[in-house]
Amino acid sequence: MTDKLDDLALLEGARRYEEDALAEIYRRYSPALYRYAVRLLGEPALAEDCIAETFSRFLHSLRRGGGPGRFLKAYLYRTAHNWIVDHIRRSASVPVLPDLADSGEGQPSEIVRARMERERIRTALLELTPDQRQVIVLKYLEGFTNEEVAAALRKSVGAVKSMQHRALATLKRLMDEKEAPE
Amino acid sequence: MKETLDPAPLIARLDRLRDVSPRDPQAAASGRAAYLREAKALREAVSIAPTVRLKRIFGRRGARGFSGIGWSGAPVHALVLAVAVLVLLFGGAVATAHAAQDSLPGNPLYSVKTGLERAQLALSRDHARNAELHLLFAEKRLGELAGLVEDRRFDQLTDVTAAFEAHLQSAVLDLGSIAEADPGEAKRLASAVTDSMTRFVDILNGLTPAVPPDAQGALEGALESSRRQVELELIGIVKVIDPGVWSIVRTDNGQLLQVRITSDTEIQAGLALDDLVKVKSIAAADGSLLGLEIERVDGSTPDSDAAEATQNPDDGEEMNEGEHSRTNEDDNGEGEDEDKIETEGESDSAGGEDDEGHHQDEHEYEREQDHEGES
Repeated sequence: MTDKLDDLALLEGARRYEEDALAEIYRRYSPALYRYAVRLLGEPALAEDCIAETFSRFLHSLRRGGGPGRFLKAYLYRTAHNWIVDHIRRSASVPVLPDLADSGEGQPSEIVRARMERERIRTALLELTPDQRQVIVLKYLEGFTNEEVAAALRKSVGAVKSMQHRALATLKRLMDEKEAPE
Repeated sequence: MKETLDPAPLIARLDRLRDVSPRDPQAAASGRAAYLREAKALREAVSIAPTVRLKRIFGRRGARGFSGIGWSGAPVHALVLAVAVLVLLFGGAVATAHAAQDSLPGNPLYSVKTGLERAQLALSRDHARNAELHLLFAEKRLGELAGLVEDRRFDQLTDVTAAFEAHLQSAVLDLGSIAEADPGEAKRLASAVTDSMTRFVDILNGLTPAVPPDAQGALEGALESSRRQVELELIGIVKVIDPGVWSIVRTDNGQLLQVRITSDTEIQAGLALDDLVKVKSIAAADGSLLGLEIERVDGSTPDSDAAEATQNPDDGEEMNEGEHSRTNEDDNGEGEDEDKIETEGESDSAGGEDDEGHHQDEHEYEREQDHEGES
């Protein structure tokens, strides 16, 4: 609740284009948005582009009197997500070797196996529908509550739960297919 | 029996994506600096009204000029001033027009925005351009609807939805007119119009949950207009093949249809009388059907039972409300329209992209899911 109030106060300042408020919003959300983008895009440079564009759209939207009403965090994730979907559609290929941290432990073969496993998961994620993907990522990787996911997707909580169930089922099927011997 | 899913192992696997290499501090600092620079530039770019700018210039110049030097006696100064005035006047007009593009109903600049649109339509001399403009303006109205919902100004939805519907209807009428004169162009535009309308349905469906029940009626008309089928798809049996027209008997109601054939009509090779075919067409302004594509229904033979064929939901003409013919996507929603999250905020004036970067063409499958989830 405090976060929400803080966000509302920040938004008030941001609408007046107060530098402190705008800077705080960036400080608060850009790190998590970056991780979110890297998880889906796999490349730090692309994730940086995504963050830059997300915040740029936020600024332009505020200038026009638009932007988030109450849910700043949901708005920023939604905007980043849309950039990512656009990028994936434009590039028509899924980037390989995602920039995900390796444990640094174990044999090289284990590291390679771990990377392949992550790549498999990420590729399966990218094959979900956009809403399904965002439900899964926001809920299980970003730690959003159902209410927060609903706000990000502009759906009801019931719809989110239902989508989440189907997304998990589809994800499981996709991953099973990828693991099945050819 | 329905298989139950234990999500725990899957969620555990997903956890492997959690760790991400630390962000490059230099890139982060650079990104932050660029963001704050942009914020500063936007803050300072707020347009000053032309009259204020003029007053300032005249005030400064006047104070100096009339205090002794007198610029009526300095032709060069007068010329410079005249140029400056023109630049300011016209520059201000351009800035105002630009600013108006982002305005919402209730904003003083909104009438400038709609006035410019009317001017664009008045200057357009052909139906194709008209149809494109109407679609563009419909999309703008949609962006405004999103903005009004975002601002919770539900009482103003009705006017905007009425304008939205009017633009869509005009686009379809223009399309019908083109069909008679330029079937090739009509075919291209029909596809664009259908795509747009499909997107509009998605967007409106996305907006609806955010609108209180007593205000949702305002969106229903807009939804209904968006669901209009521009490209008609039907299943029938070929009865007559003439160079300019094919007669086809619909399998669902036995109606005999005349489908106009042009050089732009794509016809699958080898079609013959009594073939069961799927026909894509658009309705011309005179009510006739202009054939876009004719192809044999998969798996059918000239002797196939038509009634059986129409029971195939993938091939059937009849669709549920709000569905579009291109819903044959797999369970992952893979399809050429796969896209993004619903619209929020205002639309940019160009490119059909709003401030969250939508192109507003989220696909059908998602909407079906939402309906299921909310029921």
